[in-house]
Amino acid sequence: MIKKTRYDHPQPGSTDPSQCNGCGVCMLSCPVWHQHHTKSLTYCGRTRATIGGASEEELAQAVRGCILCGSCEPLCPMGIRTQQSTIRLRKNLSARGLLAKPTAQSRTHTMERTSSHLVIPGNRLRDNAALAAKVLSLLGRQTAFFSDDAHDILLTLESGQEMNDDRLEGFIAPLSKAAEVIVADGLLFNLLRSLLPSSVAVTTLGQALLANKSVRAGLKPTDLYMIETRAYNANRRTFVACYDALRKETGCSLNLDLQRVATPTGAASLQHREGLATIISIEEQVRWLLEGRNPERIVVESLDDYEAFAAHAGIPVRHLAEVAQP
Amino acid sequence: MQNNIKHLPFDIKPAEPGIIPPCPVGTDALTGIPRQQTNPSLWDGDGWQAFVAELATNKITIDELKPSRSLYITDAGGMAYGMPRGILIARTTEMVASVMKAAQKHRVPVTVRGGGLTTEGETVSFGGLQLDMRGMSRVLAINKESLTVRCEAGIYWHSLAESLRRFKLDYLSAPLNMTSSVGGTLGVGGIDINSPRLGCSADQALAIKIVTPTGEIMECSENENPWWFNRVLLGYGQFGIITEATLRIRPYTPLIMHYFYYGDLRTAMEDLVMLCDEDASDYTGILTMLDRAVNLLVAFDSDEREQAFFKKWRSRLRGFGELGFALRTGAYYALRPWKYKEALYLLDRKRTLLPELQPSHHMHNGKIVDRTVVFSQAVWKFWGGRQMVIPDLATSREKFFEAILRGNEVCKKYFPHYTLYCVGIKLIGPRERYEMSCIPPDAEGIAYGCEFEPMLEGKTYSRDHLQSFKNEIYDIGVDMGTSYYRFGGMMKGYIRRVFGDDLVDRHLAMKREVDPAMVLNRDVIF
Repeated sequence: MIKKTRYDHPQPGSTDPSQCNGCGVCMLSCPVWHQHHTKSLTYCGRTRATIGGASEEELAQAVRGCILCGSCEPLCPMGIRTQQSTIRLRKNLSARGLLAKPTAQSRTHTMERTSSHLVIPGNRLRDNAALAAKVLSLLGRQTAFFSDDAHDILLTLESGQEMNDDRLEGFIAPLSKAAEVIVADGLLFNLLRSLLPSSVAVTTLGQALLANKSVRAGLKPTDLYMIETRAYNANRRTFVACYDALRKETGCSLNLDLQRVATPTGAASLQHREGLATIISIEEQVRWLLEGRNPERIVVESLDDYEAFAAHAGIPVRHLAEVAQP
Repeated sequence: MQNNIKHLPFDIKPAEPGIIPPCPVGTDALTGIPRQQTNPSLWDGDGWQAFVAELATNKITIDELKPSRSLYITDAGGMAYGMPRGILIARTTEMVASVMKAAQKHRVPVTVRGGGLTTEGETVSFGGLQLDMRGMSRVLAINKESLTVRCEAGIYWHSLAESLRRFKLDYLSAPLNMTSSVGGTLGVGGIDINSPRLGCSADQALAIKIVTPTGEIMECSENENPWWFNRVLLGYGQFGIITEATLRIRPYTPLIMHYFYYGDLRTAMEDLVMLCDEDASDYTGILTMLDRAVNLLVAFDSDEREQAFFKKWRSRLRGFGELGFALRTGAYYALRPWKYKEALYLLDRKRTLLPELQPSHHMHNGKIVDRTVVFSQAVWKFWGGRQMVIPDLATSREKFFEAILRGNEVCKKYFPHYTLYCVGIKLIGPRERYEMSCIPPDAEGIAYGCEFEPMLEGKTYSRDHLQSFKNEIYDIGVDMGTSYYRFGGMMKGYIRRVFGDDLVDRHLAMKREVDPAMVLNRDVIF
């Protein structure tokens, strides 16, 4: 029997796929659908197959293919928490050895100073000292990088492995005392929003940087602004107005489709970061994101997206912190 | 007690394709009308293995796994259930042609599916092959000068819009449902709220590439292979499979929407007809909540058209704005306190549905940015469910009022809450393809249609209840000589009753000629 941990039901809404009415609207923004047009590989396909009697083993290929971008989540008219439902299915499959189990050690760092405004920047940003310093300076003097990057927790969550409650508690406890936690990774953002007390403001790195006028002033109408998809899509109702305001203020275009869902590059996925087999071509995602938009520059919130565009776009790519006007 | 009833053994024989056999289990329910089988028997022909093997030699692999097949057990209606013997996701026109050649040879039924948004089981396979066209979803060419797009036919209209909008373009008219496919829509008509001006979606097609039932590939238009062009468009999948289409498109414009409210259905219908007759708006249609709350929507692509409407036509409309209607309705229910449940229902609709029809994230400067996204999301949220029952009537202008008012009474009899969706459809002149289609035979210039959609609201209704409701609506069509949008599947018995044996037999003869083994979308129409 699989032990239930705190992250099993982190957000309200049903995770029961049998609630699916089969409308297929969730497929329209799904990158797997966009690239393969094979229903069985999509969330809708998995739920319909389950209702039709398919076993979890028979869904393993589709579950492995999902990049958990959350594109399907805001679209479900039945309100199914599709991202959480997929993580749960991954957990069941992982427990039966049907999914790869990447292992990761979490790196701990020494905090230079204590702060009530903590940033969890992720490995890529932390490893880029110049950009990290720039981010901290834009976020204000009171912010500091948190000592724990939670890479192992993220990997455990995304790959569906058994979560160690003690490890999770150890990570959460110091954050619970903060006034604000700023998170670069969208999936970690979603987890922290559900686990931290309401007294702690949980913010995405993109939103935190955009609060700085000099950052917004650096955006141009010829920019394509890449919203980090996992946090946005899971919280579209909250975020869509903020980004609409950004578009109106700066004139930049956004990676939002007609359903106002954020289109991912796929580069932030477990499969890509851990070098696992993937059915999503990042090059094709980049091509689709750029088609007909013809931006002069791409501005990203996530460094995973930075790498994807740098490799395939052929136009300048900048992290949001880099565009700030002096 | 002695039981003298003799039970005869069931005698289910495979019927000749094109002939609807008597129902093997049900007795005749209506005097003079033999009860006919609604769903076909499961096909269990012995050509399957040879069919699969022949395709395998062409490197086409049929998926026979149950999890894959189970994705296709029903359609959006959720009333007809069947299981294909195997499925294939179409990737190229040549692949489709190979499938049809092998299907003819081995007499294997092929049921074609795009979005699967039928509600009478028309896209459900009862054995045989399910051909999923959505594997052909590419936009092939966008021509900004000639305002045309060439796309593969499995593409969803929404996906086509995603591509077109990057170039500030849009399609002309398509169903208000994001998961309708282009090919499926061209095969049945396709109605939008701009159909009173632009006609049905099928009339937007300039050219199509088809695969005939015997596997030939053909480019068709009004000038090239016109017989096939007119047989396949609005042909309900009987005469060929559309694999590519060239469609007319237009520059994209956001939509300026106005809602007018009526306390009476007939008045709203009269105003709708007036707006259509006089080309007063770019979009118009009726959406009802109750008889006491009828919504006439009127929308425009440009400020000029909107201004012209307010100058010339607004004063002639008898509907009210939201505030005026709320005051009148409030007064009505204040004098009739025993109808408080009805009033509460309307208040709830106002609170929950109306905001969904103008969500802030799909609005820009007070205009709707994408009408199909807004309406489709609202449709699935408020009307969607595991079962959807949407019988309809398509009528001439002269029969519109009587047919819809009669249908409205039928709805009242069966369900506490329901919605009527009425819209006009401009006809682009006499076309062969209008014959035996959703375009009523007596319609001239413009046709009208109405969908009768009960709100099932999570309640469980028996299949008989739902079927009886549909039959009663369809019976109005027979009685008045109208036509139907939903055309085939479980209601195919009505086709013969409405159009008569001569016409149906003529089309059946054409079908037999081009599809000798009667394998393409078998049992859907004939």
